[in-house]
Amino acid sequence: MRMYLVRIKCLLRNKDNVFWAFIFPLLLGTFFYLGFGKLSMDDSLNTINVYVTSHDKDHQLVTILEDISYGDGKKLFKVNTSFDLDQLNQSFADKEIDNFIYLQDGLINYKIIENGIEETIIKSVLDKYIQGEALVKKVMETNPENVEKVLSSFLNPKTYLVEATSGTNPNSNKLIIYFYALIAMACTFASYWGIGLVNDIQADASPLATRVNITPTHKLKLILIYTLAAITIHFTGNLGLIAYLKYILGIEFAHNTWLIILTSLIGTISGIALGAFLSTIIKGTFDKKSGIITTISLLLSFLSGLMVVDVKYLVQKNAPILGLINPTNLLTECFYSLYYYNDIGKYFYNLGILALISLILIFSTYLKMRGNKYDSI
Amino acid sequence: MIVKVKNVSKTYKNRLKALNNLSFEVREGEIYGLLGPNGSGKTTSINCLLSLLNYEAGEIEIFEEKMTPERYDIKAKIGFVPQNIAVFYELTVYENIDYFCGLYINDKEKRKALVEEAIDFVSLNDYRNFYPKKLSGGLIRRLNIACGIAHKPQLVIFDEPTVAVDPQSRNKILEGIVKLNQQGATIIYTSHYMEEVEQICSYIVIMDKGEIIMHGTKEKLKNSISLGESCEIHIDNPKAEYIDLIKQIPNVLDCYYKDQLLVIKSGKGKTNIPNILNVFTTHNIKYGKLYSSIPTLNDVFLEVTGKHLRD
Repeated sequence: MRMYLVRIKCLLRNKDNVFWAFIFPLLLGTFFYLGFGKLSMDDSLNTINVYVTSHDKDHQLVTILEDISYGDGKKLFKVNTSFDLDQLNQSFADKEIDNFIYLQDGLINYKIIENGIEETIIKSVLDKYIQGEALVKKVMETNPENVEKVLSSFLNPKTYLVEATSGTNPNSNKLIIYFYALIAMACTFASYWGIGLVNDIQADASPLATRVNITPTHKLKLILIYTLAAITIHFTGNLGLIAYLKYILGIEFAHNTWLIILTSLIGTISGIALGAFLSTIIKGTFDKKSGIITTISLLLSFLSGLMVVDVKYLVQKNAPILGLINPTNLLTECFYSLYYYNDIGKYFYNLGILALISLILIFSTYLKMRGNKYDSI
Repeated sequence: MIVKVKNVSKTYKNRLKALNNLSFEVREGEIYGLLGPNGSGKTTSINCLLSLLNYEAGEIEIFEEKMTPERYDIKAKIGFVPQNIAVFYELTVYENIDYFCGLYINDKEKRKALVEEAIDFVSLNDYRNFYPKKLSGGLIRRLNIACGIAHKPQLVIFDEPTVAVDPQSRNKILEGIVKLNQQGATIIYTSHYMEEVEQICSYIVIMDKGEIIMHGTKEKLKNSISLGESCEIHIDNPKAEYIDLIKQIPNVLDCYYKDQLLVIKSGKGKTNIPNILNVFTTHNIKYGKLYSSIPTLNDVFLEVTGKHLRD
């Protein structure tokens, strides 16, 4: 217990450790939130102002436009019919309005500024209306008895495309995955704590480790205590991050926060275990080891699709075993299972493999260091 | 026998032969000095002794037991002060000593007493709450020592503990080592400073290129060479011909100028200085101050290897 507490003290007094474990993820989370997080949290779809000429207007169109609403009852359009054509033309020319609808020779016409989501929505709705109106007119002329059927199929279109990720969380917000990635990144940062751990235990890594090796303290005890201390601090940092994202920034994670915390714990252990194991097999200074482990971490992240999503599926399709032994991939799979797939079985399957790999790595680290004599110190 | 090293050979991966059939024995109560220039194999010997380095041949016993990395029972009786500073920079002086002592001693009360004793021993009382970064080079060396000896080991190994230390701290360190020895610890002390080894070691091994070239007490080592006395004489008007005159004196081994001083190396004998002064008087050579000294370990090293210890 004494050694554990002293180790905790050492880790907490190291300013670099504190920054990377506690402060940096919070800063990054804040930047994410400020950059695009807020956009996704708000009701970004607003009611759109649409202008229709005050006289000579299509009343049916106005009624339809006024009736269209979002799922929650919020109106899609606010129809303004207070101005005549000349006034609307002038306002449009002065860029005071972005759109207006008018009738010319009995046909619906519209003018819109061709940019922006709102204009695209107006155009889509009007095009569909014009298309529908023409279709109904034609059916009335040729097969008036089928008008009802045509109207029904027009108003309730069939969709022949099914989303590839069936069974996904219908409420998923694609931007939230960045915050999951942030937690995953914080977990992979733990690999640097693994290097620090080995640096203080493996005799050829530092003078301090040389001294520790001459003491009668068993290697396994040292490894376990140092690992436990690193997990404690790093995991506390992760808890702080999750709490900050959830309660301060108001990020809505998947329903079960405890599972995110559990993933973060296993992720931290796997990060430390991976860093420690790689550190035992890479010879050289702390900086050299950090450099190589950073490269490996980036490669694992790349293969997990954190940089290019398609890579993840390419790996899954062509070399699934790579995905199964890649801790970063398993970590992201856990998060995807919770958020996109909503599949607890898949989640525990990936988490279990991640935990198993972590144990193997820690034990391998011990085997590499146990009873070791070195070529040079 | 506390330490027994028998025919140990060690070659590094770059094919450098660091130890060549090295053998020595350290008896209880000795301050055993390993003296040699940088690269002579002193630190490699210590690292092999402590089972940190592997070696291709030979045997090492400590406390009459074969030493291996997992002989924690043997390690419990050893203290080690490495050449490089090996302390936690995040812990204070007190916390550092307490941590390392705690790796040997579980009993809290006993440990507390030992830590206090170690702090006293290295005179760091005024700095107990300082972090290592705030300590001077000499003070941090003392902390390095305290961390290695606080648990009162039976065998303490010092690997060049005075490198880059000011003279005052150096004296403190040397005094401390002698005191440790007087308290019952057997000491192995490596250094390339012959004065230190000469000052504190009861038995000395001189190493070069991974081999022992001489060993014995300092008196024995000095007696084993032909040099008996060195004289340095200030000459008012140095001339080359004086060297030839001096070299003709019986028992003179060598003679040369070093700046304004005429250096004369003589063999063992009781009349070396009178003989030299007699020649000066006879040939009316004017001289000033005269310094005479008995051989040093550097002279021993020089005579055996043809080079100085610090070359």
